[in-house]
Amino acid sequence: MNPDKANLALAVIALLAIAGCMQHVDSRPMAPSAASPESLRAQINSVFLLLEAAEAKGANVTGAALSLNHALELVSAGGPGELEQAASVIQQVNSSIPGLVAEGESARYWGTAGLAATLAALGIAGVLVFLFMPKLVWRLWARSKRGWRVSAQ
Amino acid sequence: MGEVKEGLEGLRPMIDEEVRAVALAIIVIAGAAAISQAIVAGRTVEPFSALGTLGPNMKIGDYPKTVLVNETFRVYFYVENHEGKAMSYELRIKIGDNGTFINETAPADLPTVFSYYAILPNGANTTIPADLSIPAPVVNGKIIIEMWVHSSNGTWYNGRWNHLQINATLPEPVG
Repeated sequence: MNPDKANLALAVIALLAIAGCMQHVDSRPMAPSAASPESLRAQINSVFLLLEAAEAKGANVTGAALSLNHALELVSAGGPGELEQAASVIQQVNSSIPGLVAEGESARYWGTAGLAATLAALGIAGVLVFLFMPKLVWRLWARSKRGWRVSAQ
Repeated sequence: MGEVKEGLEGLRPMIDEEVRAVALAIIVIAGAAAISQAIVAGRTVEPFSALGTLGPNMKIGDYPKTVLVNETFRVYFYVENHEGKAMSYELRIKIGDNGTFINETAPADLPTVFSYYAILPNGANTTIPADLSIPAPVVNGKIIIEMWVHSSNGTWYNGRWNHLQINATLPEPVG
């Protein structure tokens, strides 16, 4: 065989292999097409595990968990329309997880910062009270007794 | 006059110390309360899950006592999550009798005939409609509802169960 033709054939095979891999990668996200109730339940379970991990990282998963429960109800209803809707809900929840994790991490950071700021403010307030409170108390006391007259006999 | 002034001045540092002590005590108590609230806010002290079974009218106590074999009857399962995190529940329905053993650690050693699922965030609850039927005649039977949990650690029985006493009879032959 001509070496050029052999190289060309190899290149075509390599391209086909790469295209095949890309197609495999593309097919991984869950398609919203109708699937069997069993496969949808399996998808719900795997998305729930992702949600569980996200919650452990501080994400607020209340809405997402309720959506998954709604997807379970749709799967139980079992009609083709419901199954398609359930697949769509599952996909929405799955795609929302990275955002929830980011929000959770941010909320956790600001929560820690808020706690640290509160502790610092309390410490500073303690020092200020220790230094200035007695003077303030006596000043107020003296002002309240300003009108008094003391006579000694 | 000079003696009185000296006496008052002598008392003043002692009173100042008392005021300082009281003010500091108030600050410490208020600070401790605020910090403890900030730390424990939103935490679940005693996690638990609740399972309840309701009759066809969504009430406790109106359960069917006797049904025909393969007759479908409706009950409702009430599930509530107070575990402090989102939970994925599976309710496994098994059919046994008075001799069936089940407790908080051991589920009934029977096949699952129906399964119902719920995913709940912390603090949420749901009521699941369930259409059940009994495939064979049974006297003093039990419909056992076990609560199982799915998580990243696997699937396990979490020790909650309900049971309904029920009899299933064959339909009367026609004629």
